[in-house]
Parts: sequence; structure tokens; C-alpha cells
Amino acid sequence: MDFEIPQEYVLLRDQFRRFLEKEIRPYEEKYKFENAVPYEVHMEVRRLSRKAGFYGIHLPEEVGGGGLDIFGYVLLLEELGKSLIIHFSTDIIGGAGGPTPILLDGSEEQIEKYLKPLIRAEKTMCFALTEPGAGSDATAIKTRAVKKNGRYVINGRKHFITNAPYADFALVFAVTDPSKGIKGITGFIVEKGTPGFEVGRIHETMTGTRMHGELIFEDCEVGEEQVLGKEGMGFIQAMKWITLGRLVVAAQCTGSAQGALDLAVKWAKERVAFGRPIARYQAIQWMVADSATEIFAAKSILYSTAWKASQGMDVRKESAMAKVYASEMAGRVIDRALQIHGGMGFMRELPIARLYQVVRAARIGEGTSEIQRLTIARRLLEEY
Amino acid sequence: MKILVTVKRVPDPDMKVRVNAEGTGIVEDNMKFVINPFDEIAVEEGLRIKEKKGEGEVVIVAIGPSVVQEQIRAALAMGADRGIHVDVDSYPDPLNTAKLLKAVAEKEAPNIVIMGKQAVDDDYGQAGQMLAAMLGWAQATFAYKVEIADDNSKATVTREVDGGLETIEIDLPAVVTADLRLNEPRYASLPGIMKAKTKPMDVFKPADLGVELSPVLELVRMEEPPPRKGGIIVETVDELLDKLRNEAKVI
Repeated sequence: MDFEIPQEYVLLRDQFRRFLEKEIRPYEEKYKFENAVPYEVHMEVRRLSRKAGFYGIHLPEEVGGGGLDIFGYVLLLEELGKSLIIHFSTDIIGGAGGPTPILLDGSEEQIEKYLKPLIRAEKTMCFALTEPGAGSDATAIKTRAVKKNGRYVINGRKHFITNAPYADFALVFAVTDPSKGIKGITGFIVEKGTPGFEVGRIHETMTGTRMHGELIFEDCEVGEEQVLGKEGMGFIQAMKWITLGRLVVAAQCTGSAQGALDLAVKWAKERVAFGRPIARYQAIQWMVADSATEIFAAKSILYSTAWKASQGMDVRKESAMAKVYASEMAGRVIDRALQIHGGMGFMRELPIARLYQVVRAARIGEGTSEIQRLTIARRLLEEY
Repeated sequence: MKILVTVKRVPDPDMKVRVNAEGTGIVEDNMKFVINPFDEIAVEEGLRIKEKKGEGEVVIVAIGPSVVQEQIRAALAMGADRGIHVDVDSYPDPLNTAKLLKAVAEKEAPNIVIMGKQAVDDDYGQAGQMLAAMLGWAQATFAYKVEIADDNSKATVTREVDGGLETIEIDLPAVVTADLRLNEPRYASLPGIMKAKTKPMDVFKPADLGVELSPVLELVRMEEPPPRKGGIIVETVDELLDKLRNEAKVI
């Protein structure tokens, strides 16, 4: 039994940390009092990260990625979380609008035309599954794509779509055959500017960003070459990567919690109240002890699950456990970190206040906490 | 052009170092170790020289227990060609370090040896100078800029000295020690890290190099600096002068 992280991963993580501190930290500092960052700045950061070899590092080398395995990917995401770089969290390795493995299911032409420019940080996309009437129950989507004379006509509405206002193209999931259930859902690559495709309302989030929005399709016609892979495979393609998506959230939450605890402990040792550092009061000690213990638990789940996933094992149950535990744990730890900082924690000068808001989304995105528990229970009941 | 670069394993300068209870060293549990930052600059310079020449070999040498192979691999990941590990149980003092490096230099016959100006753990800053003296080679310490002549016979080195810069020309082979502003080390890439795993690394014991270690320094005791006391605000200039003269005894 060897729990040591292999040296090459440690080395890569060190390089990554140095890159974040030297190249990205100045951007984060510059915008720390802003709710949102101009889109060009996101792209600038992506290009920087591309140049340093981190953007798209989790995608295969054949398509221009770095070929990093899941374990390494998770380690870097954890480090990214720990850095408390918030504005650019999806611009460093990939994420909303960036290189996504789901496009690996595309044809050679699609990979050339869509995936590679994403990895080169030249283009941006959005993933459009959620609808006003279909969130956790994604199979209930109503957007229809009807085949006519060898082309598809798409009608429907998507919402809460991350990156909607900026995407050069959207990966849109629509029902092509209502009689086939999940096997009747197809993914389409729809380019910006295609007649009948428009960005609707922009949603402002709790953190004040304005990068989520609606996509509206009205008799939007696309050719067969815009189908991702094969007709009827859309939902299966989307689900194939869900395990990885959950590990991504778990890793970033585990890292963020660690970053918040690091700040809180340093603060508690310096901040004096009633004549001594507050770290010497048990009320504070219990908070940091609980936090450190919970982070340790999350990390243990995360690493063992990521390791199993890297070996190609089925981790559907474990990744749901990692996600639900880490996202809820991060909520608690960051809340305590804010409390330890007192008034200072409420100020935007420190990243804790923003982090407190941002981490709330982790219990919703990539499957709500409730869906994770459902998944865990379903697998568990099957096992007995 | 053969470039020999030395790297030392040191505690991560960003981490808090604690002295062990016996006062014989630092607590190594949970400690992270890295390439001495000045040595990392030396590695980068070696790589840049090779890249500029369009030919050559960058050989990394490190002295210490087997864990120092991690730092050799890190330098190989940056792009160096091969490694030499001089296997000793503990880190020798500067004189014995220089003796071992002399043996490696004689074996390898490089055109230049590049070292960090000092290691950030013990801060001796002596090994480079001692090595040059033992080899009878020229030395250029605290390098700010290094240029190698086309025929590899000479180097022009700009040095950081008190109050400014000094440019000297030295015959090669020579020993150059890197200062902070010589360059900004690159990031090791993922392909670089993967390639480093299969790059050759030779391991020698001091005896293999014909060196017998004879320590000249003994660590008597290590202790942490006393915690800084809070300052005071003086009322008058006279009081300040009095304190500087009679309490601090600095004027």
C-alpha cells in the first residue's frame, strides 16, 4: 500500500502553483473588487495558460491537449481551488466554454473545426442541456430537432447556460425521437449567427457575474454534419463525462476549503482579542480542527476516487460521494473561515466573502446534492 | 558545449522551517523540498546557453541521499539531458562538496560549471569559489549576464557587485555562480516531466570518484531566532539617540 503521490505529479503541481502565483495572481488582484471580468481578459488568461501548457492539459495529445490523466487533472484542480483564484477558475485548465472532452465524440472534421480551436484558446463554446422545465431531470428536455430533407430544424429554449453570451458555438441537446426516451436525444453543434439561433435574456448570478443566459431556437436549421457523433447518442455522450465533472467540482471544493482554512489559521494566530491571539481560544480551535478533519476526509475520498478513475474503474458511486461531500464540506469550512475573520471576512479585500458565494453553486451544478445522494443510494441498493 | 550544473535539495523557501527538539536540524516531516532557487536559475542559464549554441549537453549533478534524485529529475524536466547523483548519507560541508564536485568535473570535463551563488538553507555561498580554486579554473560569481564566445574559449560575465555591475572576461573552462537576476527559470512542461523519467542518471559513491570525505565543520547547535519583540515609540530625538547608543549600541 502506497499513499505517496508520485513525484512527477508533485513536480507538475509545483510548476502549476508557481504559474498561478506569478502569472494569474496579478489578474485576480486587479479584479478582486469587481463582480465580473471583461470577456477579453478571460481569453487573455486562457492564452497565457495555453502558452504555459496548462490549458487543455486534460485532453489527449492527439487533439492538441496535454494528455494528463484523471489523477493529475484532479491534483491541479485542487491546487487551483486552493489558490483562491476565483474569477479565472475556468480559464486555467478548461471548464465552462473551454476545451471539453465531450467533443472527442465528434467526427474528425468536428474535432478539427471545434475542439482544436477551443484548446488553442481561440474559440469559446457553451454546453446547452438545461431548460426551464428540465434541470436535474435532463431527460425531460422539450427542445425538438425535426429532420426535414436531410437537415434538422431546431425549436426550443435553454436557460442558465454558462458562457451563453460569448460562445462561438453551442452544443445543444434536443429530442430527435420522442418515442425513444434517452436514446432519442441528440447533440448538435450550432454556430453563433446560424439563422433562428439567438441568445436571449442574460442571467445575473448571486456573485454578480453575467455570463449565464438563455438560448432561443426558432426554426433554426442545421445540416447533418452538425450532429455530434450519431443521432440518438446525445444524452449518453453527456452522461459519459458526468463522473469526471463531479470529480472536477469535488477537487475544486476540496482545494478552496483548504485555501480558506489556511487563511483562517494564519488570521487566528495574528488577530488579538481580549489580550491574546484568537487561535488560543477553544471556540476558534474547534472550528479549525473540524475544518481540517473534514478537508482530510474529502481529500481521501477525492484521491482514492481519482486514482480508481485513472485505472479505468467504474466510480459512478464514489464520484457522487466525492462531489456531495466536498461541496457541502467546503460550504461549512468557508463559512467557518469567514466567521473566524469576523468583520474582515465580510470584506471583499479578502477572497473569503466572494468564495462564500461562489461555493454555494457547487451544491447545485453538475448534479445537485440531492441527485448525488440519489445516485449513491441507487448504486448502493443494487450492491446488496 | 558541455555544461555542468549543480543542484541542491533545500526546504521550500515558502514554507515555515522549524528546528527539531534536539537542536540538530530541522523538522523534515511534512516539509516540502525543492531545487535551491539559485540553482534553478543556474539550470535555466545552462539550458539557454545550450539553446543559443544550438548544440551541447546540460548535465545535472546533485550531492546527498537518494531523495536528491527528485531534484535532479526536476532539472531534467526543465530540459537538462542527464543526471549525476553523488550518493552520500548527509549533505557535506562546502569544502567536501567542492571536493566531490571537483572529481565530477574532472570526470566530465565540461566547458563550464554553473552553480547557484549559495544554497538558501545554510547560506554558506562557498562551494563555487572553492571548486574553481581546486580545479585551478577561472571563476565569475554573482552572475547577472553570461555570454559565451563562439569558439567556447571565453565567457563574458556581468557580475552583481556592491553599488552596480562589473563585467569581466574569463577563460573557459570556468565556474560561474548565478545571482537572482540572471534569468527567470522556465516552467517544466508535462511532456518535459514525462520525458525526464527516462533520462539517464548515474549514481556514484564518493569512493567511486576517488574522494574520501573528511568533514571540517561540525554542527554544534541549531536554534530558531528569538521571536521579535514589539517596538516602542520614543518621545524625543534625544531619547532615540540615547537608546541607539546605550541599549542597541549601534552608534
